[in-house]
Amino acid sequence: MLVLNNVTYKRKKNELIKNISGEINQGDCISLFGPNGAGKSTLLNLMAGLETPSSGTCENKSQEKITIGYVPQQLALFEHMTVRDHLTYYQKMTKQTNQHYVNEMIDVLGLKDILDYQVQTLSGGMARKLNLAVGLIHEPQLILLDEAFVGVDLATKHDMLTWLHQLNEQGSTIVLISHDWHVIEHIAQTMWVLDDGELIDRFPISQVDLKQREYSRYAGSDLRKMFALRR
Amino acid sequence: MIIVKSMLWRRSTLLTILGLPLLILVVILPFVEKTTENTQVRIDVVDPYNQSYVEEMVNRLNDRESFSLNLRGQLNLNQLERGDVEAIFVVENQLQEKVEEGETENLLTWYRHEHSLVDGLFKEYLASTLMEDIVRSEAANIVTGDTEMATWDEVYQYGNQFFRPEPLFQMNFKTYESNVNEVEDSSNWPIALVWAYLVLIIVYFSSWLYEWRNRGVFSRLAVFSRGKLRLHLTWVNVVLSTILITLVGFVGINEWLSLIALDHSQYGILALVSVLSLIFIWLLSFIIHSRHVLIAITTIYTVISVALVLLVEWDMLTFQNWYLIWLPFWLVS
Repeated sequence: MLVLNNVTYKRKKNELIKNISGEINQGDCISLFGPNGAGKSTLLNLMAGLETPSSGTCENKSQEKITIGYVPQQLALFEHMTVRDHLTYYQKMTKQTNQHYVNEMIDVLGLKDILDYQVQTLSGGMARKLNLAVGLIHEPQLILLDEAFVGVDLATKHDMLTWLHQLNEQGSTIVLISHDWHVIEHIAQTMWVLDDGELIDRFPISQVDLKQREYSRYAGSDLRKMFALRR
Repeated sequence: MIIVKSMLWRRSTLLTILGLPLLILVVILPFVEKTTENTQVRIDVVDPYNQSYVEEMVNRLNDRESFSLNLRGQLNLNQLERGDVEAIFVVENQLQEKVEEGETENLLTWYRHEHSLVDGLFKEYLASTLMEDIVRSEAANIVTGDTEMATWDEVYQYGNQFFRPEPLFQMNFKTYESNVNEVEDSSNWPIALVWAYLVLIIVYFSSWLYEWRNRGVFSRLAVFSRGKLRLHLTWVNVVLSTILITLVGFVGINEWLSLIALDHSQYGILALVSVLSLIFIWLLSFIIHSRHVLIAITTIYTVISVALVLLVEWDMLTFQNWYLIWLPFWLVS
């Protein structure tokens, strides 16, 4: 679906991404994992086409154009618009005519009761759900989530994961950034570990116990601390 | 339409677009009314002899709303030169006695400026008022026998003289010509303030661009085909429509209240300059990533522009061609 060939990205002489190669296939669910400043968000932006690699390529290997659903770290919402207005606006913009899909998403994410609420009146969790819904309204083939679960309670997390799981099962590809082990283990199939702009490791989620023990030997590193938090 | 609604239906937007002009109008209206009062013909009556008859006459003349009379003790021709008054009438000594004796000549001296237009109306009004007194005095003189008895024909002819076509009432007439170079009354500088208000609107709306950028809305839309461009165009359309509606409102109010003397081409230039300002600020928002810096730059530019226009309009600075980099000079130069 998407192939990264020695992707390097520089900004103001700083190499934020260093020679990353990898392949993302349809139906994958990859978790980009690493400490702050490791280059996860930059790599996600490169996959989304929001940034252009300084060298290397980020290619779509499928025949047709991939539809991308990008959910940014911030609540990228219009403050004075209602939930309904958001859904209508993005539905029109993406020319989404599958009302059944939209209604189902509203149901699963529990947005039905807050359709007429303005964004500024929503709780953090509700706003996160809307942030996700808006990014997925056009049934994207590739879903890119940049810390989409920050600050949500367990019930909200449940709704969001349920919907993402359903989409993944239906063939959507997901690449997510999360520091939440609960989220990672619930949905991810593969983990890509980044540190200082480099892709230092990739493994199936089934090997996470093994990797946890491995990283526990990296005394003093941020990755050891991050893996240590997993129970 | 959803975005347009969310941009416009905000308290601060309504306050900026509707509240501020209303406030300005409320502040300006008393001045407009004052200006309306000033459309009265201002006349000075000078009585160096402080006669009670003149004071009484001025009170009677003041009943007419079209004229604004001031009774003064000394002749001051500078007032004519400055255009403070339309004309000055200097009364002779012993006016009452002369009126009662039926004198109709040289009771007053009429000073007028070469630019005086409607003072003739007051002259007619003054003459008719004095003639009323003169005729009544004459009638009283005849009835009380103060005059020598005459034949019926003589009395008839005497009365008839007041209705003959030649000018009955005559006065000294002097035209005052100023030696001072005429200063053209080009008070177009308020249009620079209108432009400044439109810049304020554009800067206010620029906050959305920064909000959308900081919130990641543009990034989110960038993955859709022309999504980012569409939102930018929506913003431009909203601001452009607001500017045009504001301009139409301004033109309507200006034509109605005659606040600033402007012709159609100046309205056109104001629209052009406003659209250019919109484009500049929009382009600046791409380069300047801090909203506060954008506000600071546009505020400094606007304040300097308006200040320069005022200094040039008030002859404290000489216009130079390079001033045209300040957009308000397009409006007033």
